[in-house]
Amino acid sequence: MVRNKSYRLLFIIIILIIWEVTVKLEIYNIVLLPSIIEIAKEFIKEIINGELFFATIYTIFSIILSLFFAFLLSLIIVGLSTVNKVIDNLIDFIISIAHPIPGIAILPLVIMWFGIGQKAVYFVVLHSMLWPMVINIKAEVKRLNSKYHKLGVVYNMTVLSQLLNIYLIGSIPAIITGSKIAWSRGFRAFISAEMIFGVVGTNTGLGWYLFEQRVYMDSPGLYSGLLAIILCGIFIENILFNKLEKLTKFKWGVL
Amino acid sequence: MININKMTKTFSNQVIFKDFSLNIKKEEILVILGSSGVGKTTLLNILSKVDIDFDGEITYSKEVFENVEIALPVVFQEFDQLFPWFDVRKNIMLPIKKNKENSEKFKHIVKSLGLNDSINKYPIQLSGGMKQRTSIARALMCDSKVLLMDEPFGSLDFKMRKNLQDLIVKIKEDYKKTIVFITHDVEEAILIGDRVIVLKNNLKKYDTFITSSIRNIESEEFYYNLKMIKKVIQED
Repeated sequence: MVRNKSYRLLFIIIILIIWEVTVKLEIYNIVLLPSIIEIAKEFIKEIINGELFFATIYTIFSIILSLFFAFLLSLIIVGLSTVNKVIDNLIDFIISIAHPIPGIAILPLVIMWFGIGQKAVYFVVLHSMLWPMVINIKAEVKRLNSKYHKLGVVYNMTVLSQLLNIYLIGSIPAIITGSKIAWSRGFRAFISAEMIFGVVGTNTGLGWYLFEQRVYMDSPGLYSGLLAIILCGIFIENILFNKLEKLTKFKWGVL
Repeated sequence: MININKMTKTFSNQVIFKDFSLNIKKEEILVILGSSGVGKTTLLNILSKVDIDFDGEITYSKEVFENVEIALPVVFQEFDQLFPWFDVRKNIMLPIKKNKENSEKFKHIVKSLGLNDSINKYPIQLSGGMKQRTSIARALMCDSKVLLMDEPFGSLDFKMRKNLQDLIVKIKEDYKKTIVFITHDVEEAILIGDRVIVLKNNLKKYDTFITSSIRNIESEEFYYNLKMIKKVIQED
């Protein structure tokens, strides 16, 4: 583990050295490839003046909010699928249609319905997040049902007790896995939607930040925005979700 | 205690039981033997009320459902019948209400089943035998007069099996339980059973062996019954 981390660190250092040497040799135009020091300075400046910091916070907040609604909707959809086989089949059919459609592909249509603005962006993000979450939770509930339903019956557990103690708690690893996939899909959709169509309103995220930097040809700013995206990804996926997965793996019996 | 009268059960157009009758007596250990597919688990599911799709009549004496609401507790063969996300304490206490009386009962059951050191452990940290003890403890907590067991020691080693077989006989005596026990192991059936029935493929009949006095593997009675039961199974 420590060795892997050392290799990664070494790889980053090598890339930075190659980068800086390329800049010093002026192989590419400085506008295309600014120096690392310049990018770092810009990154710190943009964090301190709040522009990049608030864009990052707003992006994370928006995605967490969408994740919450995607989770609630998933529970409703999975709940409906357990009512009877006809609804279950119908939901499987809807998933097979909706899941492969990339969020960005429906954006033009969404704009026609909701206009340009945050509503459209949220709708696209929600679409990107919802289906992987539903697929994961639905599969897990099915597995739990075949494995533990009989136990719930022979031990006279009430429906509420079965829902809470078997299906909801039992699905937590699937919810985390679903959230992890939903997060990465939603994150990409959010940034892409903001970059392609822009937003209307006072609050803007990293997509809009990148879009602005490109318009003003501020390449250190552009790289700073990308750095913020990378750091967000590392923090949420590699640190937060991996920690959660490790915590649940033990308790849920997968060592 | 439980009386099955002319029960008929079909599953996917296949008749499993036809006019099957059986009387289960109070505080006996009834062991059910039979070749695979003969309907042992189906019978247990029907007795527990998990499966209510059958013809005929099953009458339970009033006391059977004194402390349980709908179904009778079952200890299954699979080790993963415990909820892996709960520790031993929560697994045992899950089907019942938390009150002072039940906490006392919990302490008593945990002690008598030798689970004292494991109550805070998760199922993944337990051996197969300890998992089965936990499942038995959970079934005992339900306070049902009848305990149903579906090949509970099927995957355990000899030593662990022997310990748990002794435990079942002790549970019957200490807790005054009626136990219906399914197994493939003829020796196990004779050693723990008060009565052993061998289900046959003809849907209706079974052979009965009274084994209540046999608790010693070296007795003549044990070998005689072992020979007879094996013969019945082979002839079927």
